Amino acid sequence: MKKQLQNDVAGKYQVLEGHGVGEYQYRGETVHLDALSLPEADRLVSKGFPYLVTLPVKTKAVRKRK
Amino acid sequence: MPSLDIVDMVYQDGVPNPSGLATMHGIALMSYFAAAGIKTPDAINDGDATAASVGAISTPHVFAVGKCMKKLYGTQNKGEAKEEAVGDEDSTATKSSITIMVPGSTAEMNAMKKKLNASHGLLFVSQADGQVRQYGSELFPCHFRVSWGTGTNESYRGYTITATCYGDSVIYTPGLNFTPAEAP
Repeated sequence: MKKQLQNDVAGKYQVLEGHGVGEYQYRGETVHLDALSLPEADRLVSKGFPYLVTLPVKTKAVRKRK
Repeated sequence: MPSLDIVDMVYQDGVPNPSGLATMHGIALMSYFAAAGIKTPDAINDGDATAASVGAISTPHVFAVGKCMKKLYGTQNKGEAKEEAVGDEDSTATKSSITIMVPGSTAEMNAMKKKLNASHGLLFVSQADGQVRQYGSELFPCHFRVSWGTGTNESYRGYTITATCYGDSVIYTPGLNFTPAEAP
């Protein structure tokens, strides 16, 4: 079964194109993307971890009143 | 032709500087990479080159679908990576050699010995502080020599992997990638 990011992580990040959800080692730290919590993902991304890319923020369309 | 300027080269007080290698490294054969998937650092005479863009690669390499680095364990305090300047004045280059020692005596590692002795690739070496250096490049891939010995009753039994390549090593900031690549 294909590994996936946890739901809250997938709501904020996607994996860098062409790369998979699995094991990485970053700055001496072993990272399992499928087991990563959102705070851990935020921490890694803030340190420069390149395999998670922040999704564009969804904005609600605002209908102008006539 | 423009070239990178030199900067102050000073001791960084308070910054830890441990020597030696960590125990987990990455190895990839040249065939593991996607077409144009191997990233390169800037040359020192690239117009917009900076020290960071010359001395490090910050964009991850792209592997062929299903491929990634393979894990390479090395016994601590047995491995070493070093570079030396070679060539004559006005024609100086760099030659690197890396030694990693893998304990044991197994059929699997015997097969890897045969395979690596006939292969070229890139070696991603983890240092004691977790920083990864890439040895080998598309232009000058690493050549591997793998030997094995029993050692004496008070020494070491295992495989000695020696990789050599010309060209400067480069800091590879994305780290080690042990996850097979997926189709974009």
